[in-house]
Amino acid sequence: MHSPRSDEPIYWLLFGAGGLAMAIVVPSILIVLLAAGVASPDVNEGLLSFAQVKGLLGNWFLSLILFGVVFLTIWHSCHRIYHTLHDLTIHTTKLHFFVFYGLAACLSFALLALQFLVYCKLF
Amino acid sequence: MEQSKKTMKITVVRYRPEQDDKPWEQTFDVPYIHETSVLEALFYIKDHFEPSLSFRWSCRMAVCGSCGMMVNGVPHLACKTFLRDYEGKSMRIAPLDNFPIERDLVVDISDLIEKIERIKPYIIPAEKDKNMPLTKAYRQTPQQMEAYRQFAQCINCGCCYAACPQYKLNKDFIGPAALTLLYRYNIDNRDGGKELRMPYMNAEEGVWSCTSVGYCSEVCPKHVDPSSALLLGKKMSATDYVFKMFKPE
Repeated sequence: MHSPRSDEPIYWLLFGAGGLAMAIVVPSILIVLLAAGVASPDVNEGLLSFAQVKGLLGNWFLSLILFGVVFLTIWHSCHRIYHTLHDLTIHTTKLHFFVFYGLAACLSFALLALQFLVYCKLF
Repeated sequence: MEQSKKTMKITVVRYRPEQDDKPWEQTFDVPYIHETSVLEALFYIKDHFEPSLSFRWSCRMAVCGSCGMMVNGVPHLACKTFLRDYEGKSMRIAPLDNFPIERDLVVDISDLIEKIERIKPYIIPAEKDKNMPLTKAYRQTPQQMEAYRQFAQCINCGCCYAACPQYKLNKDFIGPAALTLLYRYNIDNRDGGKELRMPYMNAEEGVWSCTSVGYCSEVCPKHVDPSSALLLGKKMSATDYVFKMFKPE
């Protein structure tokens, strides 16, 4: 009698979390990096030197946060583009669904692989 | 109506199913004063020029929700819209968008009525309240009422359905007014029927068909703000989704 339950909550929750990440966390990171860059512009010795950044990436907790923020940003963006197609009068089908969320899944795996490679290379 | 010097050119969309193949337009010069509403202008046209003109109305005071129509392309209640706000412009009155026209400005709103009935817009007693005396079971504090009061102001005029681009594309969408009522009963502390209503909210044609355009809230003559009710509904549905994932029925 009832229509089946929509699976949209999964994508909507990722979209909402990603929106929060993009609106609050990403600008904060950028401001902190900018402040660090302005305060000590020397890339060899300053706050943004290779040794400093390596130290940051070596922290598993910070790596996890970095993964979380970029992961959510990816899902947020793909969801946004997928739903904007509708406003651009492109009728979305199951194909669009798989293309956009498939892209988000692929990018997430690529992100994981990249972080893993960086970790292996540096430590 | 008192005669005055000011007149306005009012174009009305006509459609008489037994004579006309498609809707057509008829223009009238209607005299008006500061207090003349669009509904009164229509009375004037019916009394003085065109007795066959059909339109719905009842209370004349924005309570009954009968006189929803498009005024210059925007959904309005005719009784709550005044000619003085269109001074120096012409006016085009058309039947509500997104509903089939029955005759002239009268639209067939049976789809809206069916959807409102479908979502069970009444208090369903919880199991624990079934045997309690009425004086005990349905107590409500002013704070508990305030939670849903705004969403309970809906008069089913259909303006939000005429404004909704999603309803225009997909008539299966339950739509702003009905989903707002669904949410309103779900958060009423006297109600125990949430589980019976959630399947309608959780479906694709429930809250998930809304893309938060927000035009419904802009045109609502009773300031119900269906857009926010649907967003809160999405939160409710998503929470329900996560809970059911760990605790399936």
